[in-house]
Amino acid sequence: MEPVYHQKRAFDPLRIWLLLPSWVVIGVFLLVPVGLMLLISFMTKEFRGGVIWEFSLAAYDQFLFDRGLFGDEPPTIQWTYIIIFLRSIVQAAIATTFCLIIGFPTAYFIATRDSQNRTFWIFLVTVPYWVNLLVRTVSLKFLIRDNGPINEFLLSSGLLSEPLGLINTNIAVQLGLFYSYLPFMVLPIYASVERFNFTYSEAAADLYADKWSTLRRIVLPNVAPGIAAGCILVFIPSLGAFIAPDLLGGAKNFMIGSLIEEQFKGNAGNWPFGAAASMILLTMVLIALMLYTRQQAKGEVR
Amino acid sequence: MDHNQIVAIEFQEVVKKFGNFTAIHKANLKIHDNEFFTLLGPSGCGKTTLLRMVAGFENVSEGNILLFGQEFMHLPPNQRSVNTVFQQYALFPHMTVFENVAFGLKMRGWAKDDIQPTVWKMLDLVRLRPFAERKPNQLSGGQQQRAALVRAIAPQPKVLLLDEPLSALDLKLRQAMRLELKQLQQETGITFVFVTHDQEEALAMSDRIAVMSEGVIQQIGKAQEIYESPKNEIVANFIGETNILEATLLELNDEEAKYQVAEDFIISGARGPDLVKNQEVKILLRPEKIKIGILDKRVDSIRGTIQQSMYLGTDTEYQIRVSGDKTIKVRDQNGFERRELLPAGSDVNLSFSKDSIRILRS
Amino acid sequence: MQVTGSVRSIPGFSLLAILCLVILYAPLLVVMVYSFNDSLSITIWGGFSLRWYEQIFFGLEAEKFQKAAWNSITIAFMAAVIATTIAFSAAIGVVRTSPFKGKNLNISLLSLPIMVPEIVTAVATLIFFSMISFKLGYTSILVAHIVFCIPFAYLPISARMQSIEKVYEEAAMDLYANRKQIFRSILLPLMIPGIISGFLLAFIISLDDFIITSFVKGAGVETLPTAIFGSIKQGIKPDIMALSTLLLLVSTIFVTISYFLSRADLKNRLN
Repeated sequence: MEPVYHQKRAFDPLRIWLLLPSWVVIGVFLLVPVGLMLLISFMTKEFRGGVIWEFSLAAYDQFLFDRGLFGDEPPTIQWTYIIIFLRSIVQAAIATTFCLIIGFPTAYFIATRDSQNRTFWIFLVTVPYWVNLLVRTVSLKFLIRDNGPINEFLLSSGLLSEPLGLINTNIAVQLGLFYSYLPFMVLPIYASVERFNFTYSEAAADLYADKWSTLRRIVLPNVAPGIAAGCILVFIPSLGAFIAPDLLGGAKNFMIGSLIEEQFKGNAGNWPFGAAASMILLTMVLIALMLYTRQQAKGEVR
Repeated sequence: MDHNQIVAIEFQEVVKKFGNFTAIHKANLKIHDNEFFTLLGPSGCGKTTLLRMVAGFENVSEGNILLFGQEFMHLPPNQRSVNTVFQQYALFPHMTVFENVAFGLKMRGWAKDDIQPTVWKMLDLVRLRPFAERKPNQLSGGQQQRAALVRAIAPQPKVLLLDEPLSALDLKLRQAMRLELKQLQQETGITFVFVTHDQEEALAMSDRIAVMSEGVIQQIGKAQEIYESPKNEIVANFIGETNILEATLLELNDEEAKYQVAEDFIISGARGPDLVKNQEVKILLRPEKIKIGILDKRVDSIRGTIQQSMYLGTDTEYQIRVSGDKTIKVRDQNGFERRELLPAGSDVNLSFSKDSIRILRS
Repeated sequence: MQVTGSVRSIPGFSLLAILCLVILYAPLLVVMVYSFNDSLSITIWGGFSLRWYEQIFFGLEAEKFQKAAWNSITIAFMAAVIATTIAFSAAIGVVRTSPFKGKNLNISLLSLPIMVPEIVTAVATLIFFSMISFKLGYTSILVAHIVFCIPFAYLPISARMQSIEKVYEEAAMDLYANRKQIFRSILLPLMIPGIISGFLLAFIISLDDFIITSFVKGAGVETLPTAIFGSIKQGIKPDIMALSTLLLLVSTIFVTISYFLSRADLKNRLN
């Protein structure tokens, strides 16, 4: 008997043709490049930016150890780059926390409005997300500069005698990351609260739970996947961010993004080192994603 | 069965497997032309799968299906002249009612001048002319149902397949649609194959019914046959309610037999098929066939005690304990003679006519 | 009706929600207002003026900005069209065919460009182009943009496709439509809202990109973000604020369109 409609064949030529363009484009222009990058990270640097095709662990060695100017001294731990990575993690974590503190109540508030207001609020939250990230960061920089509107206002009203000095600090970077990715926190939490069936909370209230314990014991466990998704969506781009640290942080508050970028700009560059730093960042992100998916999968089984 | 009737659909030893799971076990079935045929069974019994194989959405694992004696399993759904009314109607949301009904005709390559009058005729048939320009989501449930119906009828299929089309409607509308469906079938003369899990629906509309359970066709017959003489326990249980009593054949003569249910509980009735003495049997007895009240010597009578009574409007249901641990369900109609509800604990006599019991071999 | 004490209303949450909006909008509004400031000093209000808008259209750097804008828009348009086509085709392959092994792998592959940090994609793409000795410029930017636009186009398209029940196609097939006719008269019309939002999202994402573009653009070719970044390295000037305001306006128009599209669609489905 000829199968007619539900072809349960593993090999469906039509499907192959439909999927082929995406395989080719992502494969050739993303997977192959990442593979090349991994390869380059094990090559020897050329001083004018570029590589010599000779196997070397120098890039990874440089990341961890200091062997003096000429590379002949006994290795000591090189803290510079480790600190940059640690700083990036801390900055991203702080930004994520800020986003959660503001984003959760906002998402919760929106999701508990009636449906007309809800879509309008979501519209308001999404508009900034669609605005160019660079434009937004520049706007923030303009606002918090030493002689920007905020400081001008505070100084002229006599509340402060000298500017806040926010710009070029860690706080400015955190603020920038927070500002860049806040909508990423609100949207998934909103989606999970909106799906939450509030009859559960009514049942809890019926069983003598007060508002706070209902929120903590009934609502939060149910919307946890949304919160996790929001945190991942803020944390990952924050980790590799370039624009906010570069524009708001200045030279002293380097993050991974700027470190990598420097290796590919001009003659001071070191391609293998930049490739190695990129690989380390990529590995960190993939680990975070894996932990996240495992957590989500566990949640689904429950 | 009538031998000169034309067979519209014939299932020959049809088997359907999904991986390791066998959804249909060797189904043999002949559906006659012009018939309102119902596949009845609980959800997951395979009735929808049978329908989808005829429509062409599932292929057959073994066996064959013929349409008016012709091979058609090799044809894709769009070349089979059978049409389906889907459970959730599946009216195309971006088209008007008119466009929906015209769709099949257009795809069959009809000329525009022929499509128009046919669609109007169809819409008139179900009183949807005023709604022709509406989108499906602007119609009520009953209107959507009727639109889906004529959309499937418009291309004049040889067989119309209906997959639980009434299940999304509320009770009153469902009852009204039953009449309408039956009428439509008689007017159009198309063979209807109707799938449902609602026994009342099946009994009300069908010329014949096939009762299915766990992928097996249990019994095929007219509504009355299926209700009055179920072939087995599964059918008896699924259609209506039944008391099932395990018994042993005590003695038998040419006309009747005596069955022992418990030590002091003996039923006499028609002799079952090919039974011998001491054989284990099952006695089926419908609750509404039992009369409750005073002793009548002419019929078998059993003594019992009411354990529980439930007033249900048209009738009252009693749980009656007879002989030790055996409990029998009795339905007493609240009809012409208005009666007081019998309280729990009352001793009563139960009686039934000899031909209302049905004997099955264990 | 809400009862007091319901967990639906938590005291203070409304204030935080409003604070959230203030944080999101304050910088944008300030920049917008100051772009109309006549004063050369960017902090002192010197009266309403359109002089900075005039400057970006007719001033010294006008040609540079116009060229960058042209590059940005044409690249965004082409990247969005190509990415949407690829994503639509892939969505049919993943969602619309029978279940198959490797389905999850395919979905992961399609979302890979979102998961890899932008800076890593930028580095990898730069290395790739220089290894194959491909001249950096307009084409390399376009290729890179197509890649990272695919997942953004794919998300709304596949979401829409999953929401279209398979039964419509079965019904069409039952009514004698062949595969081509089903695609043209059922699937495509039902998919249009998804395709439009996929396209818009991809377009905006491409227009927005700075990091990847700055790595693969080579010398001499600029898009609006790289041009703006170059300018503000020498300090924020009022004309940049005017330019930012214009970009902001374009984004807002896009998101408003998609908002009304999805609302109309939702209304249709709810009725």
